Amino acid sequence: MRLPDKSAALAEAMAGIEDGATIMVGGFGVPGTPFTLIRELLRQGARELTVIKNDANEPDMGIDHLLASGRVARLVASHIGLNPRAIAMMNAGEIEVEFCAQGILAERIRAGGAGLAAILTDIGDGTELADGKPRVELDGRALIVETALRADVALIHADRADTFGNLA
Amino acid sequence: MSDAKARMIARAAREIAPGMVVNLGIGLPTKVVDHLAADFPVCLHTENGLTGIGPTCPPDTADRNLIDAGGAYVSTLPGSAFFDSAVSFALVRSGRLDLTMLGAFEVSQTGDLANWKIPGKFSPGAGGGIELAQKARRVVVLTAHVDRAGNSKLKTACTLPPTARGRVARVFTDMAVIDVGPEGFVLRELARGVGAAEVAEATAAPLAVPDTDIPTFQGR
Repeated sequence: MRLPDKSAALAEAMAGIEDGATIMVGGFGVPGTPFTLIRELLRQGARELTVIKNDANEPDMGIDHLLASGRVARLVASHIGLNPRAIAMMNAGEIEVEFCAQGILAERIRAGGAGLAAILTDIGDGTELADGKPRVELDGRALIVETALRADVALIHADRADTFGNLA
Repeated sequence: MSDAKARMIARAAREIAPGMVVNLGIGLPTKVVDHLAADFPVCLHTENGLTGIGPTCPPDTADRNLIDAGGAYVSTLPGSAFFDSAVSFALVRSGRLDLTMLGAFEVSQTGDLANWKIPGKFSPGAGGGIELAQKARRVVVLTAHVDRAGNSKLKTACTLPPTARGRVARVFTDMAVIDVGPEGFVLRELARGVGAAEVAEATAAPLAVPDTDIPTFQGR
């Protein structure tokens, strides 16, 4: 018995990402951003993407190439302050940006991956990040329901991998 | 950087007591680390997943994958720990941070902080700021007292969307150290060469001036 070999050439591994897909992208700024995979996603041409990432990278880097090529319809992120193009596109209505507190973004992703529907939190109370979100009464507190996030595909960077997909 | 700003940062560094777990926000607060002695016992936390931040590194010797939340190349210390964003903010939300120092667009006399969004202009997003401001045990702000147009950043109420409400305990500016208490802004210290009347003039909210000697901070 042996573990399956999941390795594939880049183009094959990235094939099948359709228009309108939701893509989670790893990384905090430069470290962890899967630059090669993003370049291949750009080459393959999928459009109207929803991108879920901590940030929007910096100009001419990572997902900025997707933004510049008009491939992104919606961005879910915690901080885009290092990418003036992302801010300008948001202000011009060319992309929709959903801001999420950084740790809550991580928990929504974790919840999605763990098969949970949502998390409850008081983070964002008194701010517009809580606007329009459902509330649940618990122990006398009206907690904010933050829905879990799922994606069609996640792009992550690793230094090394085995053929089964364990990463380091 | 102006001398007044450098003195403010040096004064803010004295806010950190030995043994604390501290998060220094992006911008001015990050520079506080330069005013801590090399053997000062403190655990610095950064949102992207490190406790025990060591000294910053020049690019030629840096590990390009080892940055703080502001993107500066940093190092580790004996006992440093790495973790993912979920654990990083579990630490924040569960009240493990003794202190956070944050930058501000505006601070209100009730301790509200606005630092993530100027609608239609510059909206970088809150990043970790909302959780830091809402959950660190003590929240202090470092900011220029007035903005580039000369408007006070200390106001009766924030005009920009708030990051967190009622959480700022103290503000360090290039002019003064000001506490935010139940009665609003209270002058605690003056920067060298600045008078209480001048600070009150530059503050767009009532400023209580205690009827005692107000200490002067000199910087380092």
